[in-house]
Amino acid sequence: MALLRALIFAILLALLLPAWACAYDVLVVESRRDPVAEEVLRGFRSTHDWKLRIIPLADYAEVDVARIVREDRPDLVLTIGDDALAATRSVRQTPVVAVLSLALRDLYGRRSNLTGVDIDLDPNRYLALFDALRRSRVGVIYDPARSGQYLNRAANQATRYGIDLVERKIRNPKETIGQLAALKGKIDAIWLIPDPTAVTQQTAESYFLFSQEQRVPVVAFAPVYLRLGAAVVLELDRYDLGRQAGEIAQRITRGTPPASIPLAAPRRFILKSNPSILKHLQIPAAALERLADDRIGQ
Amino acid sequence: MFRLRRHIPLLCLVTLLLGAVAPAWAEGDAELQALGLLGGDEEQTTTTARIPRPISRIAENVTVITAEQIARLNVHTLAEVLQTVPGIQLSNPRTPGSFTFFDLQGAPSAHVQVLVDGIRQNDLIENNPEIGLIPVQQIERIEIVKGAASAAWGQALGGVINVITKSPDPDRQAGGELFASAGERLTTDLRTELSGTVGRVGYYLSGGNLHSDGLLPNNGVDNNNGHGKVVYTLPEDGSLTLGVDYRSASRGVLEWPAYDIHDNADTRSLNSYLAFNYQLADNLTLDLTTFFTQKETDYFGRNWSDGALVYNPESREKTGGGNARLTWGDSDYNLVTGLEYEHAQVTTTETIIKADLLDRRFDRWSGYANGAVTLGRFTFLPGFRLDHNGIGSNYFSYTAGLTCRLTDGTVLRGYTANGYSLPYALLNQSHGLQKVWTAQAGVESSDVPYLWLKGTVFYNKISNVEVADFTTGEVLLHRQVRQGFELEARTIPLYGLSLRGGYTFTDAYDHDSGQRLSDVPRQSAKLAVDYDSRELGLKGTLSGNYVWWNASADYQGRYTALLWDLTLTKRLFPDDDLSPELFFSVHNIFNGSQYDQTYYKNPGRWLEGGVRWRF
Repeated sequence: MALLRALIFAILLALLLPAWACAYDVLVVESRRDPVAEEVLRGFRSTHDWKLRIIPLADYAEVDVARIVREDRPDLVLTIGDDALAATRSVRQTPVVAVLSLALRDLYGRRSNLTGVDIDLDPNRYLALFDALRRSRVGVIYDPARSGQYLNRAANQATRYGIDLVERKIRNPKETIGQLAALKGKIDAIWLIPDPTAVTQQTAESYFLFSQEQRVPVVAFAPVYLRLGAAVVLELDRYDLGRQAGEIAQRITRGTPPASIPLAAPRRFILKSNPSILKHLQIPAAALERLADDRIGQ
Repeated sequence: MFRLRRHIPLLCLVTLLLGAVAPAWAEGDAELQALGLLGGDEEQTTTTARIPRPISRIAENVTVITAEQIARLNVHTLAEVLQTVPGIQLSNPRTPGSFTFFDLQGAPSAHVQVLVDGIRQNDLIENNPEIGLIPVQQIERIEIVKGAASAAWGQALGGVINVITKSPDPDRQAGGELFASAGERLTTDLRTELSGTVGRVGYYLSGGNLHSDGLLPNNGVDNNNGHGKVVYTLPEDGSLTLGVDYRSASRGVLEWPAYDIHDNADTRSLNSYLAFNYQLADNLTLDLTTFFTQKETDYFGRNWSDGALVYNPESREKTGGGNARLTWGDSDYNLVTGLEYEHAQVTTTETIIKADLLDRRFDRWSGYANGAVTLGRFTFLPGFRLDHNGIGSNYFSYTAGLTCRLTDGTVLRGYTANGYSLPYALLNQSHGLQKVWTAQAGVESSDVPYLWLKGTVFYNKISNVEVADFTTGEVLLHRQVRQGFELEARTIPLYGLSLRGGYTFTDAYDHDSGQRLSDVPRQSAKLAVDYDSRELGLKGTLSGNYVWWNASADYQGRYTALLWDLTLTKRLFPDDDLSPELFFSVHNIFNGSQYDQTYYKNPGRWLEGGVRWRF
C-alpha cells in the first residue's frame, strides 16, 4: 500500500505542475511531418523571426484548428498540404496562407481570408525548356475541370515560342491510355502537368512506355518521374516556396488584407535531368545550359 | 486431400502476396503524394497508449478499423466486424446480435478488455464482454491491441478492443443516416443516426432495433439500442461531453434437445459518462471523467420437453467512479499519467431455489504513467501501472517497448510486458489474478511496391489459469504458453480491386505437462477481395474465414470449411451525395460448417439486403 500511496502522490504532483503557454505569431498546420514540409518551413522561418506553433495533423486523432485559432489568436495560419488547408475551413477571420495545395486555386476568392502560393510553375518555364530542347509539338493530357485555366494560359504563351500544344482532354484516368495512343506520331515531347486525373500511379508508366516507343522526351514536375524515365523535371524549390509564403505573411501582418494579395506563382525551380534518357534520345545536355539560372544539372 | 485442405490458408495467403498491383486514384494529400509532390503515405494514429500517436511509434501489434471500413461490410454488430480481423476468431458466430465468445491470438474473450468510449464492457462476474450487443452504427473507429496491455489499461492480459464512438458533425447543424435491412428468418435491422453542431453544442444521437427469429433453433434476437453524445465547447479552452448508451436484448441462447435444454436470456445495460477536457497549456491536456454503468441479466433455463423453468439466475451489476488523466507532449515526446477509481457492486440471485449466489461490493484504485521518447529513428515506450483491484491483491504492470523506423516505409517494433486479468469467476477469488508475461516483435512495411505487409511473432506465458476438471468438479490452476506468429498483407487497388488477408498460427500448450491445449485456434486465416468503383457507385467485399480449432473430440466440432461471405453495395446515383445505397449480402455462400462445438453450430447460407441513406 505504501507503493500505491507514493504513486498516487507522484501523479497528483504531476497534475499540479504549472506549465507555460508560449505566445506565438503563426500557427503552422502541416498535414504530416514530411521532409517537403520541413523545407518549406525552413524557407518560411528565413524571412522573419517568426514565433511558430506547429501542428502535424497526422500526429493527432482529432485537431480542432478553429478552436486553437480562437483561443490562441495567432496573427495568421500557414498551411502546408491539402489536408492542412481543409482543416482550416472553419477559420474565417484569421488570415490563412496556403502552400502545396491542389485545392487552393478553387478556394481562393471564395474565402476572403485566404491567399498563398500556387502549386503550378508559370507555363513559360516549361515552354522555354521545350524551346531549348527544340521541341515544337508538345503533347499534354489534362482534365479541364482541374487544369483548364492553366492550359489556357499555356496555350496563349506557346504561340510566342512557336510551340504547338497538342491538347488531349480527359475526365477519367482510364481515358489516359487511349488519348496517349491518339498522340502517336503527332508530337515530339510530352508535358506531364500536376493534374491528379491525368497523372496517377496507375497511368504514369504509360507516359514513359509511350516515351520509349515513340522516342520522345517526357518533361515532368517532380523528381520521382526521373526514375520512371522522364528526361527533365522542373521541381518546385520548396525552400523558396516557404520564403514566398513568409513574404506574403509579412505583408499581411503589416495590414494588407489577404483578399487583395493575388495567388503567387512559384518563383524558383530546380532543373533536374536524367542523363541516360537524354543520351538515349540524343538530346545534348548543353541544350539545357541555355535555360534560366535556377537549375541544378544532374 | 485432407492435408491439402489444412494448408488452404497458407496457399491463399501466398496467392494474395503474389497479387501485386498498382495504386489507385485518391484525394487530398493522397493526390499530392500520388503526384510525387509530397512524401510517403499518411500514417494512422491510434490512442491505444491513451495518447494519440502514429502507428509507427506503437510497440504493440495494433489493428485499426474505421467507420468507412465497417460500412462497406454491411454488418450489424461489433462481433461481425471482429470476425474479419486477423487473429480474432468468434467461437460461435450465429445469428447477428446473439451471444458469442471469441479468441484473440489464443486468449479467450475474458482476457481481453473491451471498452466503448473508455467504459469497460466486460461483465463483473465472468469478465466476458458482450460484443454481439454493441451495434456498429455509432462506431467511429476500433483500435485493437493484440497482446498484454495492462500497463495502460489494467486487466488486459490478452489485449484490448477500444471502441471510439462518433463525434458530432462539426460542419452541419443536422445530418445523419437511415439504415434498413431484411434477411432470412425475419432478420431485420432498422437504425438511424442524427448528428450536428449548433453554436457551441454538438450532438450525436443514434438508435436501432435488430431482430431475428433465429438462423438456428432458439437463437432469435430482439435487441434495442439508443446512444447519445452531447459535446459543449466551453468559452475557455475545453469541452464537456455527456454520453449515454442503453442496450436491451431478449435472446435465445441455446437449444439442445438431447439434454432437454432450451435457454434464453434478457439483458439490459446502461453506460453513461460525463467528461471534461481542458487544455492547460500548449501540449498539456487534462481529462476528467465520471461514469456510471448498470447491467442486468435474467437467465431462463428451461426444459426443452415441457418448457418448465428450472434455472433462473438474475444478475445485477453497478459500477460508478471517475478518472483523471494528464497528457503532456506531442508524438515525439509524451507522457500520460492518470488515476482511476471505481466502486463496483454485483449480486446474483437464483429465483427458483431463492438463494443469493453472489453479493459483493469492492473498490478499485489504479495509477499509471505511460510515455514515449523519440530519438531519431528510435522510439522508446516505457510504462507502468499499479492496480488495487479490490479482490485481495495489488498488481504492478510494466511495459517496455521500442520501435525503429528503418526506412520511410518500414518499421521494426517489439515490446515486453506483464499483465493480468481478474479470475474468470468472482466466486473463485481465492485463485487470485491470472497473469501473463509477453514478448512480441514484428515488422511492418510498405516498401515492397504495391504491398503493405506486417508480421509479428508473439510469446505469452500465462500463470494461474483456471481450468475446470469436469470429472471432479474442481477448478485447477495451470500455467500455459501461447506462442506463434501472425502475417498480414494488403495490396494497393488496381482498377478498384484490392486484396487483403492475414494468417495466424498459435501453438498453445500446458507449460508443466507440455500437452497441447485443445479448443484454442491453432491456425486461422482471413481473406478478402475488395472492389470499389466511384464511377459506377459500386462497392463489394468477398471475405473468407478459415479456422482450425483443434477442438476436443468430445465436442464433435466441424471446421474444415473456408466460409465465404459476399456483400455488394450500389449507390443509385454515383455523383449525388444524397443518393441512397442498396446492398445485398450472401453469408456462408457455400453452406460450409465451421463450429468447434456441436451445440453452437454456425448458420448455413443465408441472404439479406437493405438500403442506406445518408443525408
